[in-house]
Amino acid sequence: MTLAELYHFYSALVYNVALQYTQNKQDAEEVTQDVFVQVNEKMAGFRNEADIKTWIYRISINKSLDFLRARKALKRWSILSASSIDDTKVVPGFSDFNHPGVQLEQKEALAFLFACINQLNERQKTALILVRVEGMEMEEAAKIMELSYKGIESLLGRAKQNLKLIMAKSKENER
Amino acid sequence: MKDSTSNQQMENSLELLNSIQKANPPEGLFLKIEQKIDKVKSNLVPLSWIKVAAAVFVCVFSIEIYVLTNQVQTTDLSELIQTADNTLYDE
Repeated sequence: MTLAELYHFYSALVYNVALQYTQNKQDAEEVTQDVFVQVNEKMAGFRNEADIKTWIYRISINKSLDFLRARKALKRWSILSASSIDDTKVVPGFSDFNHPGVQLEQKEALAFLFACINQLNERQKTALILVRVEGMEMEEAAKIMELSYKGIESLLGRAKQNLKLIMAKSKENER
Repeated sequence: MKDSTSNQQMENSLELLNSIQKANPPEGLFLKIEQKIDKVKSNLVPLSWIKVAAAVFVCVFSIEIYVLTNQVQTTDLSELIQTADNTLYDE
């Protein structure tokens, strides 16, 4: 398969995964570019055509997480001189919310929900995005995350538990 | 009771995620990707250059070691310490 063919088949998948992580059009575009640059670099060595979707999913997830880590580090660096920041009191990325798949009437509610999801750890966040946002079957999500069925099930359970606490805390702070 | 209510509330919130529609990547994104790939390629240092640089480094390092070890061999301790020669001229 050529890069153009791969782009034709998987660009929407990559772009949407990036959107679920960044919730921002420009950022998702940048992540999509990075994903296909890496796909282009590694595709010569990739033999297992049957697993190409899983492979592209993994690259998309890793590149999205890399992007968010870099942005977080940049933000931390820029506010280094400011007073200490408590992550639980701040709802990060709320103002950057620019998700083209979200309807206007649900924008506020989903911006709040994503701001809470963004406070989960990377693995819990990924499990939630794959299963609840991407609507993936548990088996497929488990394969992408290299986990057993039980593993993803418990990860998702912990994600929901933590999300419940974060949402309660954020609502309390809003008052 | 309170726990089950909050669980239900959270499930209702998560249901909102189902309403998110799939978005299409912007036009012209593939062109940008191709440009980025070209930029990455032009920034890469060719492997032959790296090999030449490594060979030069090894040569310079070897010469340096050779020179240093030779200096130690020729430097005799007696040459370094000046011995006082008090013998008077016999006229």
